[in-house]
Amino acid sequence: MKPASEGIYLYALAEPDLPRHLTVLGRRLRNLPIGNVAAVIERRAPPDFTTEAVRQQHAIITRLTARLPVLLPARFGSVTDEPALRTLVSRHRAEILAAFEQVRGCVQMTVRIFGMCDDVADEPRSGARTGTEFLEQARQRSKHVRPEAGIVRAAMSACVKAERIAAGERQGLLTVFHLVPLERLDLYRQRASGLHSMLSRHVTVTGPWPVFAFAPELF
Amino acid sequence: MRELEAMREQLEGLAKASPPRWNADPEDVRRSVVKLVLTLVEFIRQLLERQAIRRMDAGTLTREQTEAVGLALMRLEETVRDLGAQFEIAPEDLTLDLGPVGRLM
Amino acid sequence: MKRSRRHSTVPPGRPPKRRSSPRPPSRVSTPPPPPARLVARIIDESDSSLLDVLDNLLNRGVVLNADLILALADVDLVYVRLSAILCAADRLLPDETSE
Repeated sequence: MKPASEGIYLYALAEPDLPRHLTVLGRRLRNLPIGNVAAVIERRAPPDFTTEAVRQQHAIITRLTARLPVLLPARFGSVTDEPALRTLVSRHRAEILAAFEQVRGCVQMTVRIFGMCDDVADEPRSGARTGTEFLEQARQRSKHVRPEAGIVRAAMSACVKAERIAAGERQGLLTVFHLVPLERLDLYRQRASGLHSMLSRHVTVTGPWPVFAFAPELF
Repeated sequence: MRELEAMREQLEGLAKASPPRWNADPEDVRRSVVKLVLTLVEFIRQLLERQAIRRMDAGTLTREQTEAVGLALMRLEETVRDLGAQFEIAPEDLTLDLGPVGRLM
Repeated sequence: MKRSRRHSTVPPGRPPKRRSSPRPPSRVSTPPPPPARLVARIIDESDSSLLDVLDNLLNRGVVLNADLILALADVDLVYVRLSAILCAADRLLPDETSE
């Protein structure tokens, strides 16, 4: 993906049955149909990285989610041009359509666990003797599940359709993103209220959000 | 909660929209430069490693490619560690704090 | 929007959806769930935690759009715009491994 000066700014992917133009929060968005996927875009220069710009994009996605049956949000700063976007969508068509089905009727809830200490996965590596062994060790490490994440998973599994975990990006914080079917949201909240005593740590649960963490990575 | 306070400070930093600073320590400019360079190299190395793992999972790496990429990643990690050691930079020091966006790695 | 929408309204008395801490169960029995179509209240964005907004929209390994100032001895000297959209090579280029 090459940033283009007059390029396309991608907000989200949606199903094709939507109007050609959508005005959201004063921004004139367009529907760019690419087969059975619609890219929600705007022809603009990319926004500067400021609080206001990030908040505005968040608000736009929230409103689009309220208006459309299914939406896969793109990351902030997703700049592209039309040929590249068409190529990426075509390449990932199956993944995108599967994601539509997965997130349909669902919301995202975010669990944050504070006060996490250093993980065993961060300890110095045992010496690998071949490249394959090295890569295999790296792969095992990447699959390692923190015990706290395991506890959350066990507690919430009845109301969660999918999860994504972000660890190591913020000091002492583990973030779990849950994909929750709407009809299980109340059960989710009930279960979530018990998390902080289960973990003996400070826990926050926020949401519901549009399904940001469950959109496939095109790039 | 100390982490919440630290995070709140970082987020307020973003609200003021002032970019993070890399400030070379004038008493030890060489070490500061080496640390920045090694941090960026390690960041890219981890990106490459993550992508290689994805390819392994997807089955789109041949056995020869797996060995070649793994070896290169291993040598790259050793090099970064050894160069860091020469300047008394520990592996855990190699991170760029992007403030409210979080740590680079 | 020209397409017909079947919105269901949020039942009255349902508590606000966004919390900053886990909440206790609010009622003993729940009403039947609304149709599967997503019902989203328009959240007042200024209340959304900036942390959530950032975590939702940014993925540090993929889209890095940040600025950095390089300084020496507390003197700001160089402004760096780090704008990089990093794309997996095998997703963009023709697959060279298929021989």
